[in-house]
Amino acid sequence: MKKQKLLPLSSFFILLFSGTCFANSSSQGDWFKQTNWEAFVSQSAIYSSDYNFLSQSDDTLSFDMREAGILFSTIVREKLTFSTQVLGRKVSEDSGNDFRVDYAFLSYPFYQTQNNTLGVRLGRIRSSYGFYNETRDIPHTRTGIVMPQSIYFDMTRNSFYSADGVELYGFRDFANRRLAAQVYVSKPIADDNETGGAEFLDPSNFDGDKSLLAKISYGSEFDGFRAAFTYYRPEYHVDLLIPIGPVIVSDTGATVYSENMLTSLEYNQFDWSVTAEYLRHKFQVKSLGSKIVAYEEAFYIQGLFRLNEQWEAYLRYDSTEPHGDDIGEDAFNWDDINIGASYRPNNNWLIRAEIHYIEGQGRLLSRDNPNKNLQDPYWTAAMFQVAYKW
Amino acid sequence: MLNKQSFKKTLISKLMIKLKRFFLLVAALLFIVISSDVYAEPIRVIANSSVTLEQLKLKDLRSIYTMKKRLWAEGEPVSVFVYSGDNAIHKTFCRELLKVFPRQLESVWYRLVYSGTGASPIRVNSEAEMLERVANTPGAIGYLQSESLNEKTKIITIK
Repeated sequence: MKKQKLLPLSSFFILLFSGTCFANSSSQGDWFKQTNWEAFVSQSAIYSSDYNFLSQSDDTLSFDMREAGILFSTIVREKLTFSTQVLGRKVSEDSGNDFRVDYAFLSYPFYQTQNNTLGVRLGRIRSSYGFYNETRDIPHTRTGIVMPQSIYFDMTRNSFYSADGVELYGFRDFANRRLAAQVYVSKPIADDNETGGAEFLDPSNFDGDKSLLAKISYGSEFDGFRAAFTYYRPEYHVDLLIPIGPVIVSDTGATVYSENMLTSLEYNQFDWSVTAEYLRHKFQVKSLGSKIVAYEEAFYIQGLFRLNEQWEAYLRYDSTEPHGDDIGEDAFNWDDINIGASYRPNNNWLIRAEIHYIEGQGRLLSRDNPNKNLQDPYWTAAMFQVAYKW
Repeated sequence: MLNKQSFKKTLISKLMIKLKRFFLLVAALLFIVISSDVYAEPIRVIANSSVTLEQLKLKDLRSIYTMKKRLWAEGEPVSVFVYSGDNAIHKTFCRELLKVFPRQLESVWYRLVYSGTGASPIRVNSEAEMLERVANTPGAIGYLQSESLNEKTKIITIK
């Protein structure tokens, strides 16, 4: 099912890439400019005192988590940009290798002056949710081995962040500050593997319906403040089997949506940064005329210290607090204090280590932790990662 | 008693000599370190002679190297050149002039390139290549540590 969905975009990518290679040998100067490609691989080792955390790491040292990606970008005929990423990612033994075209899109700025740009993007777009979703996959551009799970879920990563659609974007530059706005209308790419959290309803045929993302941001990445607000609402269809007393009722028209309002703030100086992002999240399942609604508030605050050109240290508090009577709240709690350090001996290699002190199970993959509610809610995880990019 | 006193004096004078030598050594080392820093060639921002500006504010230079400023005032596209990877001149340029770590700049370029909303700078491998590419690209901007210039390039003063 997933492969069928990916096929047209993959074919498009291959055709265009072939075109670029052809152009390289003949008339690259006319058609393709500033062709960039990057590739990276990473291997992590994870140990956790309880639970399987992005790996089969419960009370054992696991090497399950590994990532590999190829990113490609080229400017076609002066203004039209094509960008794509093919990502292979394995985050647990059971999940298998998740190999996918993560994004592939065309971008065209149809109005451009010295300080103003208006443009459109079309295709499978990496959603610009929050400050860091666009660069979360490359180990070298994120802070930490794992992203703050309260905001950048790995639990439902594929269904939540990938979508095919069209986006209008615009920005106005004020010296080294930028005011940017974007509206993205799309169809989410749903991943059946990520419905494990509701497995008591036996979900099947999980499919994306529509989604809306709107974002406004202002500031600079490394000189003082920057701020952003993101509204994101993906909607899905799903078939459910609902136990009503002794009878199981089939519903082939259930709907699910996730409504997210994310406020992001960051203050940057030469050798340190403080980042905080706060999310209000509503999740609703509507089936057979009734609704199950869950709310949660989530945030993280993170300090990053650039000790010198090779070393960085970071400290993060990452928290999710669920609200609502329809769910068991304890199962969705998440408080994670983590501390880590990165070492970059040169431009290619990256070595990281971090320790997490966690209370709760709310951001654990259900498929890796079928009995997660029965275990101790207080646990720790130690992680080590080596990454290389070309 | 006298012997003890003379032994003390000898010991103190020997210690003084050793301390003097130690301080001289430290001073010499400090001089070498400081003088090497003082006399290191400064980084010069250069541009193609088609660029009409003679000076730039630091915030504008940052805006150019974060790929936000894409056009010069006359409407000519800005072509931005950098050294690749672990180049020492690039590190000094980032740290001393732009006041950022190279990896921070790289993250900004990544986001622009792979979100399709911008381009990354053009990479060169040597000062000779930097000079040649800036000289032959209208609207180009780059940087050098050596003093070499040619008739198609000019120095831009950073305020």
